[in-house]
This record gives sequence, C-alpha cells and structure tokens, in this order.
Amino acid sequence: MKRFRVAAAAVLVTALALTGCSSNKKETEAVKETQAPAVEAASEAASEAVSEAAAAAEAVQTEAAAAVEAAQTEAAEAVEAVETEAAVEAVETEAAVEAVETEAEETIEEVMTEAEAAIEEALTEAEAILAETEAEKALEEFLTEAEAVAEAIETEAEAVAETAETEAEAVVEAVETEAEIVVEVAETEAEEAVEAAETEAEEAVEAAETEAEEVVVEVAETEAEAVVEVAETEAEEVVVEVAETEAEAVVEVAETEAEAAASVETEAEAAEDVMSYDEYMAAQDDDPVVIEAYVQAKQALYEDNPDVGCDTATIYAQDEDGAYFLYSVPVSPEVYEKLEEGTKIRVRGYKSTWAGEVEIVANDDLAEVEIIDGESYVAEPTDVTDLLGDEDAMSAVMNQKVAFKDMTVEFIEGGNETEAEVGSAAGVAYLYSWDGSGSEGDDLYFNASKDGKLYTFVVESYLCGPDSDVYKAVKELKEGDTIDMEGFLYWYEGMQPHITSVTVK
Amino acid sequence: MRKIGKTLLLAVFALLCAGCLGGCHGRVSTTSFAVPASFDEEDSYEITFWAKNDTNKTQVRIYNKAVEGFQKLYPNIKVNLRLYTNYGDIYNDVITNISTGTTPNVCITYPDHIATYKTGKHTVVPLDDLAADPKYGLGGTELKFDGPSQEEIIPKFLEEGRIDGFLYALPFMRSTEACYINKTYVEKLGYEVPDVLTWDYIWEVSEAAMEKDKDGNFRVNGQNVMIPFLYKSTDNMMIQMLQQLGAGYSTPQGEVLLFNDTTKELLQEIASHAKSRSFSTFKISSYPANFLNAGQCIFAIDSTAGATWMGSDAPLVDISPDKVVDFETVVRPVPQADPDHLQMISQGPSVCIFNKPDPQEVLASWLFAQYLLTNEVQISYSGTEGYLPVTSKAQQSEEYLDYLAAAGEDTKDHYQIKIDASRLIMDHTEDTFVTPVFNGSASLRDAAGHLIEDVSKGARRKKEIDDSYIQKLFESTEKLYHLDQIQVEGKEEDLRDLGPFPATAVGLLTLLGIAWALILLYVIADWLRSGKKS
Repeated sequence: MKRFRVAAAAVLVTALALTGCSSNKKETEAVKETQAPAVEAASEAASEAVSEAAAAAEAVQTEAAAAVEAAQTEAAEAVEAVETEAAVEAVETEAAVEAVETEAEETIEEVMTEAEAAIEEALTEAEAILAETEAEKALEEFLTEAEAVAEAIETEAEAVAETAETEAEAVVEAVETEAEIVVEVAETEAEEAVEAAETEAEEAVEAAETEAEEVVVEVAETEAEAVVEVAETEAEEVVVEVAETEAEAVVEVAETEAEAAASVETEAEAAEDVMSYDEYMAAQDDDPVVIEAYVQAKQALYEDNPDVGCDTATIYAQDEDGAYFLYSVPVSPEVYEKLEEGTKIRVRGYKSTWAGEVEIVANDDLAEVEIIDGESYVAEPTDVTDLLGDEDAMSAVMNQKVAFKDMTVEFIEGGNETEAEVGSAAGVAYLYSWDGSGSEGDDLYFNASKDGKLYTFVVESYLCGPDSDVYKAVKELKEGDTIDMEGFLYWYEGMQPHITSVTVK
Repeated sequence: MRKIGKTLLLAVFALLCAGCLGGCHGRVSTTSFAVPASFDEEDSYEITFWAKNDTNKTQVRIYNKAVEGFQKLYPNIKVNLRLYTNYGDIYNDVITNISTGTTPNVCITYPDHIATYKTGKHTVVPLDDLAADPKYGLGGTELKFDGPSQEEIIPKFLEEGRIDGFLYALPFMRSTEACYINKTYVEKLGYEVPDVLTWDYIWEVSEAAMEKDKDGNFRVNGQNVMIPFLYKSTDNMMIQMLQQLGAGYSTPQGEVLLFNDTTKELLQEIASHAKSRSFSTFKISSYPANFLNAGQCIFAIDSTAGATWMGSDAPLVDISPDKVVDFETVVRPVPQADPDHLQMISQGPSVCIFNKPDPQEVLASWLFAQYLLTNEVQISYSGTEGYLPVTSKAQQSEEYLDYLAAAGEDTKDHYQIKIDASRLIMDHTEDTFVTPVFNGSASLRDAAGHLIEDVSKGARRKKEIDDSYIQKLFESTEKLYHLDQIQVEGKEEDLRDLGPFPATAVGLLTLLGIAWALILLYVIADWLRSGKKS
C-alpha cells in the first residue's frame, strides 16, 4: 500500500516538474527585462524543483517496479500455497476450487483497494502541489496513466488468479485421477480375492465330490462283492435246491396255504379290535380304545399342538349307537381337509374323562385319524328338551347331536353391564366367556329356560367362530325370545351343549 | 473462510469414515426409541392395551375403570382395551402381530415371552430411560397422577423384568403357588397340617387317602372319586422341586440342564403316585378347585391368583352347588424339600411396551403403563384374587392394611382364603425365585411340565416308568420343544477362532489406515503452517 502511494507521488511530481519547466520558459521571455532578478531566482528554484522532481520520479519508478514485482511475488506465493494445499489435501471436492477462487478474488480485491487508495493519496498530494500552477492538464494525464497502470495491475492480477485456478483444477484432476486409480486397484484386488475364494470353493466342492464319488465307488464295490458272494451262495443253494425241488414245492404250497390262513386270522383280529359303542363305554379311563364312527363336526385344526406333539383336531363323531368326543387327536392338514360331515373314520387312542366329559385322546404312537372310504352317515339331532334337568338321562346322550325346542332366552347376569363396558348396545343376553370377562372371538355363553328352569348354552368359538351364523345369531338374542337350538351335548361338570344353530321363533 | 472450508472438509471426511466403520457393526436403526423432552398434549393418541384376566369379571371392571381414570387425566390419549383370559393367546397374537407391525402398545405378559418378542429389533421398548426420566419417569414431576417412585416398587419384583441387563417389563401383580388343603380330611386321616409341608408328608397323606371301604368307595370321603393330590401347573411343580433340591434347570445363558439324574428320580417318584391315582394333574383330570370343593381332593395346588375358587365358601364355583361339600380350608406354601429354607416360584402379570415410529405414542403408552402402578389400580386389582400389589406404596397404604385386617369378615371381597393367599406371598416375598429368561425359556418351562404329564399318563396307562423310559422321554421332549435349538449366549463355539482375515479385508483395512495417516499428517502440517504465519 505504502509502495503504491510513494510511486504514484513520484510519477506525479516528475510530470509536474516537467510541465512547470516549460511554462517558466515562456514567462521568462515576457518579463525578462522587468523581472530579471526574480526570474533568475525562480529559474534557480525551478532547476532545483526539476532536479528534485527527477529524483523523486526516479525513486517512484523504482518503487513502483518493486511494488509490481512484490505483487507478482505475492500472487506467485499465493498460487504456490494453493497448489501445495491442493496437493496435500488430496480431496477431490469443489470446495478446494471454491477456496482458491475465493482467495484469488480476495487478492484481486485487496490489490484493487490498495491501488485505489494509492491513487487517491497521490491525487491529494498532486492537488496540493499544483494548487497555484497549471498542473491540471498534467494531473489529467497522470490520472490517465495511473488508471492505465491500475488496469494493467488488475489485468495482471486476474491473469495470475486464472493461472492459479487453472493450476488448482489441474491439481484436483490429478488427485482425482490418482484416487480413481487407487479405487480401481482396490476393486481389482477385491475381485481377485473374490475370484480366489470362488476358485477355492470350487476346488473344495470338486474335492468333496471326488471324495463322495470315491466313497460311492467303494460302497458300490463292497455291495458288488456282497452281491457276488450272495450270488455264489445262491448258486450253490440252487444246486441243492434243484435236487430238492419237488420236496420244496410241496413245502411252499403248504407254507402259502398257512400264510393265507394267518392273514385271514389277522384281518379277523383287526376287525375284532374295533370296539362297539357299548364296549367303548364299558372301558375304563386310560384304557386303549379303537372305534369307528362318522364325523359330525370338527373344531379348528391345531397345528403343532405342543401338548400332543403333532397337528391335532377335536372332532364330534357319532354312529347309530352313540357319540364320541375326540379331543386333540392327531390329524394332518391333508386329512383334516377331507373330514367332511358324514366321513367314516377309525380312531385309536386312550379313553379319558375330563371334568365329566368322556372322550378319546391321542395314543402313545400318535396314531392319526384314519379315513375309511365308502360309507357315510349324518346323524339326525335327537330332541332332548324333555330330558332337561335329568343329569343321568342327559349323560346317556353325551356328545350326541341334539336339539332343544321352544326354549326361552333369559336375562344373563352381567350381560348388560358387559356390553355397556365394551360400548355395545345394552340389553343383550349373552356373555363373552362364562362371566363376561372375554371379548369378541371368545366363546359366547347364554341362558335359556324350559318350564322355569335355567340352563346355560355355549357357542364354542373353535367350532363356530365369530363369522358363523350361530355366533352372529346369538349376539342378536333378546330376553324373552323363543328359540329352537341344535348342537352337541358337550359336558363340563354337567351339561354344557355346544350350540351350532339357533332359530328365533 | 479457508479455515472453515478445511474444517468442513475434514468433518465430511471424518463422517464418511465413521459411516464406513459403523457399517462394519451393522446399521443403527432409526426406530430405536428416545424419550421425548416433553409430552405433546395438543395432538391426539390412540393406544391399544392387551390385558389378561383370570376369567374374572371384576378384573375386567378394574381394567375398564383404570382406562377411564387415565383418559380423564390425559384426554388426548384414547386407550383401547382388548381382553384375554390366558397368556398363551396373548403370546401367540403378539408373535403374529410382530411380523405385521401391528403389535399392541401396552401388553400384559410374562418375562419369558418378552425374551422371544425382543428378538425382533427394537420391538419391545427398554424402560430404563423412561423410568429414570425426571419429568415422566417413575415418580416424575410432570405426571398427572400419584405414581410410585422406582424405589417404591418392590426391588425383587422389579428385577424380574430385567432381561440382558435392560428393564423390559414393569411388574403389575405378583402371586405364587399355594397349597389349598382340606384340613378336615387331613385330620380325619389322622394327620395334622404343619406350617410347612414337605413332599414326603404330602405323598404319605395322599397315599393314606386312597384307602377304600368294602363298597369300593374311598373311606375318607365316602365317594367313588378321590384324587388326594392335584397339581394345576406341572411346569411350576418341576421347576420348584428342582430349585428346592439345588438341581439343574437352566443357566442364565440358556443352557438346558433339565434332563438330569435328579429329574429322573423325581419323575419316578411322581409316576409311582400317578400309578396309584393318588396324584393327578389339571391336564389329566380338570381344575383342582372343582375336586377340592366337591370333597374329592385334599391337597390342591394352584396359583394364589386362583384363591377365590378354593374352599366350601368360595365366591367363585364351577360345579353345581349341590356337589360342594363342607370342610375347613387352610392355605400353605407349596411343599418343600427343606422346611427351614423355603423356596417358591414368583409369578404374575407384568407389563411391557411395544415400540412405535412416533416417540410421543410410546410416551403415551408409558404413561398408561405407569398408571397401572398407582395405588388405586394396584389395591383394587390385587383384591380380586390372592395377588399382592407390587409397590411398597400400595402394600403399606392404610387402605390395603385395612383390607388385610378385614379377612374373613365376608365371603366375597374379604374372603379369608383369598387374603390368606395374598399374605402368603407378602410374608414370603424373599423366598420367591424366578427362572432365567432367554429366548426359548418359555419352551423349556413347557418341557418341564410335559415330563410330569407324560410320566403321569404313562403310569396310569400301566407303562413301566424306568430309566429307559425316562431317557427316551428326555430325548423326545428335547425335540418336541426344540430345546436343542436354543442359542446359548457366550457358548464356546461362538467364540471359536475364525482364522486370518481374507485378503480383501486386509486391503480395505490398510487403505483405511493410510487415509487416517494422511489426514493426521495434513492436520499437523496445517497446524505448523498456521503457527509460522502467526
């Protein structure tokens, strides 16, 4: 900054001195005779001024040159610094370029600011010196020259900045290229590693296959040897057999006849295994039982039942003599699909009693329910309305398909409250679960009376779920409705029918 | 400007490196829960609460009342209640809903089940941060109800919800098992009921009760049905027997120790009594309470949470009134191996919270879960059965002490047997224990019960329950309950040497090292330059 000020002043003073000298010569001629002593004095002063101006101009020129040189050096240093930084950073982002650009712009701005300040100062100084002279012209010329100098400096600075930018970009490109090369090398190495691993795996597989083939060959050889041995033995036996053909033929016929007889006996025994309903009822709890009956209804399939160890289903079965409740007996999904109403099945299990309910449970071998093709039977519901209240009579028809006629729906304690709690309409006559502690999807309990006596009925959700007609129908029942019902006479510490249909009269 | 640029550049690079390194250890999911600074009371939240009741209408009423009370305090939170009557159904439904992302917000559960739930990433919310939050945590300043502080939750019960070092469940109610005894029949058989039953005692009295008269009826009750000793939960039976004998069941890491010689001996003992029919189980025969009340059972072991079904005057009865016989009922701890060192299982519902994308919704769930620990809910719910409140705040409250003091004043709210059952766990809280929780512990529990059920059925079916039978049973049980598939934490195989790094890994690690070295050099050089300039 100071350099520019001094240089500009020197140039200005030099120009002023030269202009002033020319003017003094003309005036000297005009006033030569009248003002000779003054002229001489002025001439001496002018000469001194010229000498001083010349010296000043020289000094200013020297300083200006030094200033330009310093600016160039500074710019070069800046470029060098940017180059070094760009190279070291090795990060190919535009941020570096932006930083360089910003720096260059800042440098330009600084140079411009300094130049303008120098010009201003020089102008001030020139104005002071030429206050009483005709230096305006010279000043204008100087200004022009100064502007030209400033422009030249600006142009030079821009060129320097551009060069710096170009060099920085080149550096960035070089870094990017190097980075790409590094990445490529890494990728190549990774691919090579993967290929090597694959090759190793293939080799391992090949080795395993070869070993397997060898084992197979060994086994085959061993088997072949065994076969040869057997064949040799058999050949020897054949020789003997040929000699005894007639005798053996007689023996074979006898054996065949004996086997046939045994087979007939086995079938007869198998048929005897299947119990009649009376035999089944006479069996004790935990006795093994085998029954044949016809599916009347089935509850949902229980896949992978942990209590049994396989897929199971609970089935209501019946024949002309009586009914069976098959609790969680082994049934695969394929067999389950085929268990239609009326399908004949054979079941092997243990007899059991749970809370009064007589049932068959899985045996130790988890023998699956067996479908017997050909025959079909769908039981007609037995009307047991008149048996209500007689526990012994009811237990005699346990598990059978039954009907209840002309029953009256009764208020169920907690029904209204439960519904109020769950936000449904009040006045309903059913409960979710036995006391209303359940929710939609659970068993429905409701009361109906006959001859003034109250009985509880259940819609078992695994048999008739929330989407079934009976589930929906029970939810519509109102106290006082007269209904007919059908269902299965399930037992839990007393009669607890599983209702499958409800008809409001 | 230039400095800022460099700093930014470094930061970006460091982040990239951190991302790469983080990637080696799995992505950090954005769904992990962080406690919000404050609860948003302007927005509306709807949460679902899956609650389990003991097929008990009063409990349902209390749940509904709790929901109502909570919604009054927090009108912007709507709680939808879904009722269940057994833990198994809740467990199955939760598992199904985890896969569809439709889990409830708050759920009554067992820690064993949580161990399975939390195998899904961020499925169950760890409660440590929530519990410790000064504003909304236990006893927090911003709560609109008088909840317990963390210190006011019985420490033993609180710890039961800690899995792998994190708190995943709050205790809701606690119970244990109790032996409900027909004292009249015991004395008729010539025995006294001691304060602490031993297994030897209970087997002896049970066998004595099998004596029949000339008509084939049992001498003690004059009926043709008598199962002197009935056990509801055979999994608990096996677990407690093993615990009392110091025998193996499982390690905290998930190693199965159930199939051991002590178990064999116990099974043979149990089978001998099943064979004589002096012992049976719920799965084989039905609810112990029904037989006890009908005078067909002498020792009925069931949860203290089933106390309202036990005894001649039981408020809840499942058999017709004409079948109930009159007798004196007393409550005792489950039979012990060492009467001087009682050990009994701790059980009862806990509450867990499922994670949701909106942290405010989770916070709403937490507020409701915490509300279930207020005195109002704790005291009223514990009074429905032989439960014990899980907070000292409730246990020591005047209201609860009055309730206990009124035992026997009526046969409903203050039914003697129910309050005796609550006192039992209250007096023996320090004698309770829980089994280790891990993914698979629920199956192990089922397997323990299955062993007893199997030998009991086998004995009744005239099978020879010898070593060979039990060994086969061990093998089939292990397969049936997939116990051989349980991942044991810290098992030796998991720590095996995996050999040298592959070449690609070595290359990548080297590159990373070089990159960091260059960064370090650059930073040092920059620092030196800055020093020179200044």
